[in-house]
Amino acid sequence: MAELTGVVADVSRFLAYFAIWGILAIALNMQLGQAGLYNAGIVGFWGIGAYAAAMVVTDPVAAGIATPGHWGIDQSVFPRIAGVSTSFAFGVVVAGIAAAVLAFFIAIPTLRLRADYFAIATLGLGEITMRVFVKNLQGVTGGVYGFGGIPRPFEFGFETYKTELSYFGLVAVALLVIFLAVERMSRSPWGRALRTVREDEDAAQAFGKDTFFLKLQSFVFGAFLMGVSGALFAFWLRGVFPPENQFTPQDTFTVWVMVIIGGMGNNRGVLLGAWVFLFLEYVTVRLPSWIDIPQAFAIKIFYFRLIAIGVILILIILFRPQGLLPEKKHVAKRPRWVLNW
Amino acid sequence: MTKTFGGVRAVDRCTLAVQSGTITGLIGPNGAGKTTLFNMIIGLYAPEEGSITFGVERIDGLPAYEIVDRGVVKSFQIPREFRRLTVLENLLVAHPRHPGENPIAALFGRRRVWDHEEMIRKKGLDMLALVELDPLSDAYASDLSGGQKKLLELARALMTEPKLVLLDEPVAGVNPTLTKKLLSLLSDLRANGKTFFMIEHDMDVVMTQCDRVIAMHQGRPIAEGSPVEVRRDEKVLEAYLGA
Repeated sequence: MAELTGVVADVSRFLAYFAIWGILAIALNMQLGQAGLYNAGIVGFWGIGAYAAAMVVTDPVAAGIATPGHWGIDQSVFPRIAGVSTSFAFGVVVAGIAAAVLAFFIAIPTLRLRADYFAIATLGLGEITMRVFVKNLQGVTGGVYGFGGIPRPFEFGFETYKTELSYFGLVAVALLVIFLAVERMSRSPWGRALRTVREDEDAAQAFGKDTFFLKLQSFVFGAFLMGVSGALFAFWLRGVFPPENQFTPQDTFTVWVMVIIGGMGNNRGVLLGAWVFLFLEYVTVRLPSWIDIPQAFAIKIFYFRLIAIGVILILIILFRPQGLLPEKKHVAKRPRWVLNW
Repeated sequence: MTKTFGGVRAVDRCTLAVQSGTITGLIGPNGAGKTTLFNMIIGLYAPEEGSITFGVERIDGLPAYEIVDRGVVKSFQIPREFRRLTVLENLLVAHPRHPGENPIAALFGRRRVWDHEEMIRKKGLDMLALVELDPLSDAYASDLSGGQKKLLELARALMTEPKLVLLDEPVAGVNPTLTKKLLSLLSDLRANGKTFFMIEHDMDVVMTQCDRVIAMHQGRPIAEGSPVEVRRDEKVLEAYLGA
């Protein structure tokens, strides 16, 4: 019995992690797959979302000898429903909005740049957000220490598997809602207009599209989703830590690899890409505990995963550049339900 | 109007006018500045000097998407189709002021949006039938042949409900039978009040279709008049044959 609950906790924890990255991959797909925006600053929006949510769901901590302190909100202000605090819902929304606002201000000067220049600019701004601001705002973010002690929405004490399983359920619902919403939006006339920007921005302008505004909408909406994912990640990790520990540019490139392997422009595809990437990680971490492998190899196997990912990426780019599940024809289709206004 | 690229004055203090309800031809040797002139009119380049007036309104300096909104559109010489959109979608996106092109409508869906969508879908299919591309409506635009892409360009331009259509070599690479059909289509549309301003190298087409012809050389107009007059103009012959 104890063994079974251990497996349930472990698998739930992994699946929740997968769902969090899946949301990131869908968010990048909104920006890159639809509007052709080379966002290389994903970690900035993800990180801002994580920190914002972490502050909403924890009490403020004053600076002391052992801690630089961080901002927070007195948890007693949030109403409780059936004993569960509503601060988590606020945290997720605030995280999304914080990332969207950051995206808006980053977009104003940078969205006029084309493809690769936009990538460089967002890469830089993402790093400035995390390394310069988050790491140095000592009393606000916990500085280089970050902070832990973030609770989960549902806590079951020593029954870890219940905590993990319920959190997986919550994140899975978030992923499903986001997936359906983004699919629906991609199939709409709006999604079609975004794809004209991706295909040929000058021609889109010449045929009546306000391409700057369309790119802004796509970028801000994608960043909102990245912020939501960041919030879910902060609760999952039970802490937020600045670059060197968390939120490094490597996270940005991980999302890119997921999208490229899975299939740019296809939301199912990018989820598959996330799955391939994270499943390899999971298996390589757990393998030494499942089968008997020599000690010298066991401690290295985790790093072989990176070689495997590199090989997969090269093979995909050479032989299947459209990804495992290529983009489908997204002909706009009347959805099953519409509003009457 | 003037536009320079590096040291080259592509369009050099060029002044000309197109009368509404006409088909006006624009001829001139390669590099005369014809396409640059068109790109300035539709707002892809801003003129460095001078002004552009459409009707009574100045349109120079407006972004390209607002110029389309006022009824001026161009079909590109080298087709710029949206490659990974279907042929029909290429037309649907060109239709102006779609109420569904915002994220809120996209998320919730409104009846009005989808009624509009159905309306322009019918219009788009009719337009495709006119240029005989209707069997290919669901193919990716990138799968069309060179000539078919030119037809798509024309259909897409007409889809914007324009008043003035700038055509950059609309029939180059299109087979003769279909060319004839397209030219008679242009005449019909002109009779319905549309204005065409057309760059064309095929002198037969210019002679038979255009009401007026403007010849350009080295960034400036050098002759203007009826097709017959312009063809006889000494300066035009000189520009083409070299002095």
